Amino acid sequence: MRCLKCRQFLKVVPSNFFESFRAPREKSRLATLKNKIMNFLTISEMKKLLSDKKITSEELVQEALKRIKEHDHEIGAFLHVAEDEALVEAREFDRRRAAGEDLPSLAGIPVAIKNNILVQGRKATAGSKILENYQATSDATVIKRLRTAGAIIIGETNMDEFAMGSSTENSAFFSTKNPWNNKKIPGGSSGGSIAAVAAGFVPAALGTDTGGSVRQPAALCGVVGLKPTYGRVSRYGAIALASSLDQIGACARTVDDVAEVFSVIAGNDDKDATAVEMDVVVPELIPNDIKGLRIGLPKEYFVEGMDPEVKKAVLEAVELLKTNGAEVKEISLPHTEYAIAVYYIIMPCEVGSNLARMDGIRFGHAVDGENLLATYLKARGEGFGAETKRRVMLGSFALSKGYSDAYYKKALRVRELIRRDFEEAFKQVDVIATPTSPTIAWNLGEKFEDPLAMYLSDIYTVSANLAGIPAMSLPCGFDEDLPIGLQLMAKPFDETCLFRVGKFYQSLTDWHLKQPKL
Amino acid sequence: MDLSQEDIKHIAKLSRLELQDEEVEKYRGHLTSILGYVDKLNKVDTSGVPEMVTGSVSNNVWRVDEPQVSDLGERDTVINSFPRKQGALLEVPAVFESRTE
Repeated sequence: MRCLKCRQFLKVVPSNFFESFRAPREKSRLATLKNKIMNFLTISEMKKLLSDKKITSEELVQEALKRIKEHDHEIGAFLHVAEDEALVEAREFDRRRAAGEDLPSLAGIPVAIKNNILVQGRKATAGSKILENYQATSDATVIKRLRTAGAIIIGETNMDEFAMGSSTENSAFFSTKNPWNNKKIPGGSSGGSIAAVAAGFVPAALGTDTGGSVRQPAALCGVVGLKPTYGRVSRYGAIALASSLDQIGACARTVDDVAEVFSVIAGNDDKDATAVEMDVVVPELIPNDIKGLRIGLPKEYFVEGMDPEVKKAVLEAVELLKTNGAEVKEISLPHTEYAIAVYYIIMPCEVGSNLARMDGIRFGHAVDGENLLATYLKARGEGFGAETKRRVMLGSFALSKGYSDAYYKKALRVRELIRRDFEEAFKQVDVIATPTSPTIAWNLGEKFEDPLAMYLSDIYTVSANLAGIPAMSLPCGFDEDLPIGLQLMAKPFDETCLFRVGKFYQSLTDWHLKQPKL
Repeated sequence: MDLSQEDIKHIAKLSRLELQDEEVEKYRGHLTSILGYVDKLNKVDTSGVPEMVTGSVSNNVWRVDEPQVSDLGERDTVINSFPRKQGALLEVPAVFESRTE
C-alpha cells in the first residue's frame, strides 16, 4: 500500500483488503445499495443518510475503497490510500452515532488530501522524488480542523511536483488522467484531488491553489473548486510553493459541499501569520437568490485564444443569471495582459527561496557528496524534476545581481496595478464572471515540452492569486464530452458572494450532476 | 534576453542544481523563451507605484515569547527523517573543510 513507484493500485492493496467485502452482511447490504444511492453521493446526502441511520460510515468508506480499487488504476488520483486507518475511524464514528452522541459536522465522511498537505504519519511527497520517503511529522492546521469536524482522511492524492504544473504530468510518480477521458489531462496541479472527486471516489478533497491549481483542474474535470481569499485559510503544514500566492482550497461536486468544507478549514491560526480572523460563512444561511446582484464581464478576458465553445458556455451561464435577476455589465481590468508575465516572475522567485530547504541534509533524498556544495548539487539535481529545476533557475536569475530591479521589483509593481484593477472593478460590480480555462482538457503530453504554452493556459486564473481575491470554478457546460468551467471572482473575504451565485446557478442547471462513465 | 550556456551553468550553480550537459541547452531554450515573454512588462509605466510584496494587507502579529513543549512523537519523527545522524543529532557535511568559492 506504500508503493509509490508502482502505478497499479491492485499491487498496493493489502492482502486482507478483499476479506472485508466477503463478510455476508456487508456484501448483501452493499449489493442492495450499490448503484442506487452509493455512487456520487455529496456530503449533504451522506450526512442525511448517516443521520437517518440508512447507511453507516463504514459502508461509505468501504464503497470509496472499492471504487478506488476498481477504477483508480485507470485514473491515478491517489498516491496512498489509508484503508485500515480509515476503516478504524469509520467504525468509531458508527459506534458513537449508535450510542446517540452528538457528532461534528463532517463525522464519518471520507475526504482526500493533496499530497503537499501534511497528514501526520503519512508520506508527504509533494509529488517529488526528493520527498519520496518523507513522513509528515504533524497534521497541517487544515487537517486538524477536518479531523475535529470528523472527516476521515482516506488518502493522499497525486499532484504536479511541488504544485508546479497545469496538467499533473509533472508528478515524479505518474500522470493522473481525466475521469471523463483517460487520454486527456485532468488539469493541475491538484489533478489527483480533483480527479478523485470527479470520479466519485470521495465527495470532497483539499488542494492548493497558487495560480489556479484548484480551479483549473476543477474546470477541466467538471467539479466545483474554490481558491479562498489570501489569508482566509492557514497554510501551516502545507509545503510552501510561493508564499505570497498560496492558498489551500476545497473541491466538491456542489457549491453547498465546498461551502461546508470551507467553513471548517477557514479561520486564523497562530502558526500562519497571514491567516486572519473573519466571520465564518454559515452554509445554511447563504441566500438562494441573486436579485440585484451586479455581475461584471471583463472585456480583456473575452478576446482571442479562447475556445469558441468555452466562450459560448460562459456567456450562456451569465445570461441565465441575468434572466433570473442579476444585472450584467462590461468592466475593464486593464492590466490583464501582464498577469502571466508578473506571475511567472514572482512565483519562481518565491519558489527558489522556499525550495532552498530541500537540501538533502535534514530530510528527503540524500546523496553523499565530496563536500557540502557537491552534496547540495547532487541531492537537488537528482531529486528535482524538470519543471522544478526550470522555475528554481528562473527565480535565481530574476533575483540575481543586476537583474532583480528589472524583473522582480518590476513585477511587484505591476502586481500592485493588477490589484488596483480589481479594487476599481469591485466598486462597480459584486462578482466578476470569466472562463476558468481558455480551453477544455488537452491531450496527455500535448504541452509537456513547451513550458510557455503550458504557462499561458493559466491566463484566467493567476490574477486572483496576484490580487489575493477569492475565486471559484463551477461546471457550466461541455464540449466534445469534456467539461467547461465558469470562474467567479469576488472582493477579498467575500466568499459568501461566490457561494450565493454558485448555489443559485446550480439550482437552475444540472451540469454538476453529470457523471463520467468509468 | 538571450542566455548563453555559460549563463545557464552560472544560474544552475546559484540554484544549487547539478545539470547534465543535455539539460543545459534545453533550459537555455526554455528560459530564453520565458524571459522573452515577460519582457512585455517593460511596456508598463510603474513610476510611483509601490511594490506589492504580499497577498493581503500585512500586519505584525504578536505573541508572547514563551517556550512551548514539543510533542515527543513529532520529535522522534523529525529525528528519524535525518538522512545521517549520530544518536539524536543531525550529521552534516563539514561547512568550512573544503571551500570551493
